[in-house]
Amino acid sequence: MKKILFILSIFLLTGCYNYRELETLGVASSVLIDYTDQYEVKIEISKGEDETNVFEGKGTSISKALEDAVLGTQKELSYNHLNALILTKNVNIKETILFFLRDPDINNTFYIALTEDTKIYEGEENIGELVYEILNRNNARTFFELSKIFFNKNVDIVLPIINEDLHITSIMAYDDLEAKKEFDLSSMEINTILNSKDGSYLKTSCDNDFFVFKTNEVDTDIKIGKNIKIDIDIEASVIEYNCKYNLMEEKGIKEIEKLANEKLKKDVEMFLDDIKEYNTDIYGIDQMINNKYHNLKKNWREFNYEINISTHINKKGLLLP
Amino acid sequence: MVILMRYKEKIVKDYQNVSDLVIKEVQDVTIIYLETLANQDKINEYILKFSAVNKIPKDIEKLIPSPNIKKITNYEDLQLYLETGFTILLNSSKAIAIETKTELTRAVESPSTEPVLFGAKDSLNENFQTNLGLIKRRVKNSHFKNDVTYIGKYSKTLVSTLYIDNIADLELVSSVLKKLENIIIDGVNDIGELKQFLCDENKNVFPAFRLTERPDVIAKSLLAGKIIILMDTSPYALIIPTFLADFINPISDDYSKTINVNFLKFLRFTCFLIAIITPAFYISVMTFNQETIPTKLLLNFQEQRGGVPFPSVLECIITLFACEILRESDIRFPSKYGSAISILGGLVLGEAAVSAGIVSPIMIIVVAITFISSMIFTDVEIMNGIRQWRFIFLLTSCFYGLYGVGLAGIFFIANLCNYEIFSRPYLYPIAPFDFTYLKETLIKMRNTKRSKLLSKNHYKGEA
Repeated sequence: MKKILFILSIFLLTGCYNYRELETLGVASSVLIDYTDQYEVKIEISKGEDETNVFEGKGTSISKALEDAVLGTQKELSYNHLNALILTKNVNIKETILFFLRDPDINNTFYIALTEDTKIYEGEENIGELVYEILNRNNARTFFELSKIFFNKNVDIVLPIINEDLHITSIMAYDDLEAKKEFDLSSMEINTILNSKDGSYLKTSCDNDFFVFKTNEVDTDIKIGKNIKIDIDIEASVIEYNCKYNLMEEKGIKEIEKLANEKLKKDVEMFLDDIKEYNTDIYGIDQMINNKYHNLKKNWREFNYEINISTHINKKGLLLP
Repeated sequence: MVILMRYKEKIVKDYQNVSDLVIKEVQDVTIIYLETLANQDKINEYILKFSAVNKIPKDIEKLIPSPNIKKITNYEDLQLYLETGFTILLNSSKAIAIETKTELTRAVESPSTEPVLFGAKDSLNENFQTNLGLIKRRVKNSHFKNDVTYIGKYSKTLVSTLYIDNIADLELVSSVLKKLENIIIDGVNDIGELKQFLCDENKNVFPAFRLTERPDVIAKSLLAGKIIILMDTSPYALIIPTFLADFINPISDDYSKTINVNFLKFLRFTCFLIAIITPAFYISVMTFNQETIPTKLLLNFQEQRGGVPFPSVLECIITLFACEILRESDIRFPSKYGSAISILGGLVLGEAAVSAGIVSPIMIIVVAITFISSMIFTDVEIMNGIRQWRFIFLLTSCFYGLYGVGLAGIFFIANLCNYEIFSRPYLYPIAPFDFTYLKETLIKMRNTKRSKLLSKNHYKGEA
């Protein structure tokens, strides 16, 4: 009898936490949060395959605005399958990230993007999925990756900015969760390379013309010594080619590899100078210095850079003269 | 002599109102038999024809041409022989029993519950002698022994323990024999009834012993060091000890190519898990852990569940119950009506229930996968065991979601690990791990050794 009571009490006193029937859920695909004098949210809820409904709400806090948005739907909001969180530049990023982190059921593989335009839901269906695809293809950081950096005071975050047509227009670099500098698209490619992620298309000039190569494999190694030593090893393939060098010869390939190295080195130096200027330590260099030299009272910005780039054109079989 | 004369009086007294008892006096010999069990032709051939012509000599047993003549020393033996189809001859000096059994069994037929595409097509029947013969055709060795006991005060059913004395563990043999001797019961009808007396505890829902009707399975088990129990009147044999892994290891695996068989074994093992976990996993996903499935699938499920007024758990229980009812009625109903039930069940469950909005189409798929997976096991007992665990998993999942499935999984494994049959762990060869026996059950590989747990004679093909 005692045994039965014990088993029953286990089930009846502790169970059923988070019990939600599937049909009562409003599966959010994306959420847009704007702040003027109060929070304004737009929630895109998936209805069926490629069908969504957008609900709008207002409130003095994020939770109130979200509640206001789904008031008439009789659905319970679920962020289990959230694809994108889109914020305007006025929104406090710290408060917003913490709000979503507190939800135990949150899907942590969605992307966060900034926008200046709150009319992105007009026109296309299933914006959340589209934004997810775009940011995924552009090697943006997921919510999970961002939240790891978020709690690390020595590393700063970078967020992509999208326009009304859902194109990435630039990236925003932060310093202690405060927006510092907006970088253009070419800087975004450099940022991708410095994060050891491939898939960037890099346009390089040769004489009066240009060629484009795509990074297939990138290995970036940042080491702290007397200087900050950055070694970038790139395996790339030529995508567009208008130069005079003959790619059927080894000499021609060496020439364009040299050009690519020079161009990349220049771009990386420029980008690093910029982030130095705005003190946005997006690669956590300060932490690396602290790990190597404890109690060194020298800021990462006081170090010099030593950049070595080695680009190898692979998939030579695809080259044409 | 006085004692022998008393036997006749005793029989007359004991067998009052027994209509088939025949007592004949031929010269100075009394012939007694039960006409329902004895073959009239054999009695004519062996006894009456012979005794009518000549004066019956004292050493009568030497003259009777029957192949099986037993000397009777006490009244209990006399009764036993009489009731097993022997004809009793009593004269002034001795009592003998002559085998004149009539054939009350069917012929050797194809296996009905364990059919194989390529392999032997004979199976056991209700006759012990036939069954033993079928096994002896496959194991021809003087080390092949069979100890006989009779169980049941009234039924006096012949039960035989078969083993190969230089392969099987003799301690196990003696403990099985001891258990059989200690069974006190009025009568036993089938070996399924007998096996209830052989297992110590019935807390585990999985079968403690494997039943088989195939002589080749029996021969294989004997050669592996296992013990077989045969019972007269039962067309099945009991294999001792049995492990869970044995149930997913049909004999047809031995007759096919290794590489194909290994895939099938993996498939069967997966089916075992699917049959237990699928409804619980579905309920967890639908009610607790919606994040575990792709968004498109989730939205699809949501759309299908839209019109169903019941909670998912109730919907699942309703469908599982309906299927259990269908299966039970399919087993009990004569096979000629079976197809009618299948059509009716298929229509009711598959079409009408969905249109009526009682269950969602996805639930039908889940339950169908569950049932099809459980049907790869031929043993009804293991299907019953799977069903019990399916409901335990379902219950925990409806309270705790996937965490509950994990909890039930731990409970399931702990329960199985705790189970022993004749001091042999039920989860063997996984826990305790034994690669030798694993090669014969869960995977198929070339194996030259016998399991240490089953036999002390480790190497196959050696004396």
